[in-house]
Amino acid sequence: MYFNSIEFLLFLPIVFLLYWFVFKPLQWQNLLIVIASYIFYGWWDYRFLVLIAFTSFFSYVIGLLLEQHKNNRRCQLCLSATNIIVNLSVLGVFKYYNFFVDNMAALLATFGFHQDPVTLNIILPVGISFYTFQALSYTIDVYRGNIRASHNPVEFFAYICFFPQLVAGPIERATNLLPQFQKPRFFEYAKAVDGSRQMLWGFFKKMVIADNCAVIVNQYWDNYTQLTGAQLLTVAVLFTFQIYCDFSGYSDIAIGCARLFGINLKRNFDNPYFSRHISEFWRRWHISLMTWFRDYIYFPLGGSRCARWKVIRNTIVVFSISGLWHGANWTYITWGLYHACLIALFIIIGANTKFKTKTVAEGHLLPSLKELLQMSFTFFLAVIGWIIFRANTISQAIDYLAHMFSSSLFSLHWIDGKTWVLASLGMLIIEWFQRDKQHALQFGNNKLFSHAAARYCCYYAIILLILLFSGSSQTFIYFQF
Amino acid sequence: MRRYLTNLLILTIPIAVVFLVLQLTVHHIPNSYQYKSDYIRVHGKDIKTLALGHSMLYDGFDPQAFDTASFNMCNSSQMYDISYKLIERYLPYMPNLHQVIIPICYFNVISSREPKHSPSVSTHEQKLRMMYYHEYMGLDFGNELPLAYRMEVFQFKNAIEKLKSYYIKHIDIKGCDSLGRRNTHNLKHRKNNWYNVWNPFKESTSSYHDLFFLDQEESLIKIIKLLSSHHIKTILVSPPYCVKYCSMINREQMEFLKSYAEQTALRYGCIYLNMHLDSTFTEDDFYDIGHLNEFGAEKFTKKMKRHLENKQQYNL
Repeated sequence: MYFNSIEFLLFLPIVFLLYWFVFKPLQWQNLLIVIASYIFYGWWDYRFLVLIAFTSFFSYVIGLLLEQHKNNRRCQLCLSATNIIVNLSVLGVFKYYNFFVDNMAALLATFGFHQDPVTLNIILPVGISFYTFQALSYTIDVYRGNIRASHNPVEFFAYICFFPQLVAGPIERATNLLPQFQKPRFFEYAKAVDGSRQMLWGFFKKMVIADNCAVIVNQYWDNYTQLTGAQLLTVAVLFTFQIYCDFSGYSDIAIGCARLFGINLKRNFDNPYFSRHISEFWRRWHISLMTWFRDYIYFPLGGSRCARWKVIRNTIVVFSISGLWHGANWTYITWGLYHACLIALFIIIGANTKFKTKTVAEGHLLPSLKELLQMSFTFFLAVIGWIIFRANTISQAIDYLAHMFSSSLFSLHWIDGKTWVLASLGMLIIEWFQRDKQHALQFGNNKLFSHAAARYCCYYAIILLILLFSGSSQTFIYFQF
Repeated sequence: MRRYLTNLLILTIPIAVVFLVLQLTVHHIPNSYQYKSDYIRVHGKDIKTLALGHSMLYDGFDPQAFDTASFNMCNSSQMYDISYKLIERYLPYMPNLHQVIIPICYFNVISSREPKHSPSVSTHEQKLRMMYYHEYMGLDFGNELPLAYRMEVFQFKNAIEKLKSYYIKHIDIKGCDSLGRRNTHNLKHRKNNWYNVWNPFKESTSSYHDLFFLDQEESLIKIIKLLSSHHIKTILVSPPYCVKYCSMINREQMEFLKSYAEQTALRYGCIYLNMHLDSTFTEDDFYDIGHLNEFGAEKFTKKMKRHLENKQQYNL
């Protein structure tokens, strides 16, 4: 079930009313969450439910066993390793089997061994990467002693399958989300209102900006050889806005929706295109995934508290795996390596990647010239990365970049996407003025929006924009991961 | 909670009211689907000849040139599966129906292995059409039609455009004459570069000719069998293309079409008329390469009528 569907518009109020008016006791609310989430997830394909149920059950049992053997570290290590192997194997089979088989066959062919690879005709279950990582983080945190194992299967299943964040994150940590299913929840007006506003902003970004940019990108991408450099740059910029609005829009909807049920999810995007440095970009983009890699891969490898070459090694490992996480294609791995190389380069030259202020131009209306140049350069680096990400093959990515950086880059031929470049910039400007907030519709102490009429005008304006300008419905990009 | 729900209702009730008014208003705008449904219900017993199919016959079959007891129940991109649902639903209203004319064309003969070569409509446009059939002609598509296409107002942009076209620009959205033929593809509507608007050969040539459009073929056979069970003749026809611009034609695909149509006609006792490359139709008879204008439609319909009369005399 997609968020931007009539089905979800009917589903959400029903679940919301049942949650607060009928299923009032904690256990009943958790059970409702599980049932509703399974309906939500099974709407795509009921067969997906078997897999998520297996992952949930297996991780739950491992958690109990880990606690049972808390005095036997070796046993705990075996259990934890088993859990990691099993869950990653499931993920590997569904997501990466054909990729590895095809590449192995290609590799063998270079040595003269020709094999017909046996590939599987498997549908990739929606959200498998997200909930698998969420399950893994639980068992690892139990192993590390960061959290007690859950003794309630309903609350644990609710933690794994909570529908707002099930299929495209944020990837929640057990330390944050599980306790919320263990405590009674109370309806809070301010939280619900803020959550609703965040959902509205998420729908706007997804349905108006992302979907319209997608139409133009899809139209021109396959014929890129016929475009000028300037046009190719425009298409790349549109994709940059598309992927941001698509993914951050989804996250906003997920976080806002969770708040309607009294659940707080972690922020997943923190205005990444206002980053002053590529390292800062990765502290602001898909925060839940990058912190997952940081805590469970980067830090165990030594993090940044080791020799410089190890720091670079750790960075390359994390970003390569991050690229691979996104999909079974060399373009994703290359995209990860591209960012790893950028960060490694800054490590080598010893560039300062920490800033005095948390937010760019903090306390000021506009950025300084230096900050503007920093943001522009970081944005440009991100655009290059997204070209690699979007390409079907590495050779297409290289070809695209070669065409873009030709002499025709300075031609004045434009494509039809000018309107949506401007609309995207308009969205970015709104987010700029709200950059210190969780989302763009968090009015805070703004005098104008202290009047109900102004707020309602704003809501109606956004709803009207969504109704009038929503593009052809596109699947959320991150559903395929 | 009460305050939240109250505010939510204050926000959503006006939107719901607007949607309701919009739905009622847009539903009353004349359109070809509603018109044809009403016509068949009222005049169905007078209909002896029915054209049932996609746009080539929607433009090409002129009931006024055939006889007064005929009706054009075609529509854009109306493929065999929808035609079957229509004839199944509306046949009881046409007790005197003698024959049904169904198009079978070059672009129909596309392998299901190459869906990208299907008639160039987007999924959204296909679903919009299904919505019109559902809303105005009562066809049921089950789960195939998403909830977002069950009511016209859910396609908000589309509904607004329709309202603007009808009430502000005063454009005739119905788009067909009193006997169902499309009247917006006449010679006066033809663009200067009309031969570039749609090229069925460029867009619909397949590499494969061993798999006919399986899902549509099943519906075609179901139509023929249904009509046959009611002693109604099926006439398969390949309407003319503008021969001057047929340079991209794939001869193998054309031969496959001819062979398949003839075999089907023979097997099920139908008549097949192939006028795809009939050179008696000149440029002045066309709206675009594959669609006839009013002059071409009249010529084609009369020619078809003569052929049918001859075949019927021959069969006697």
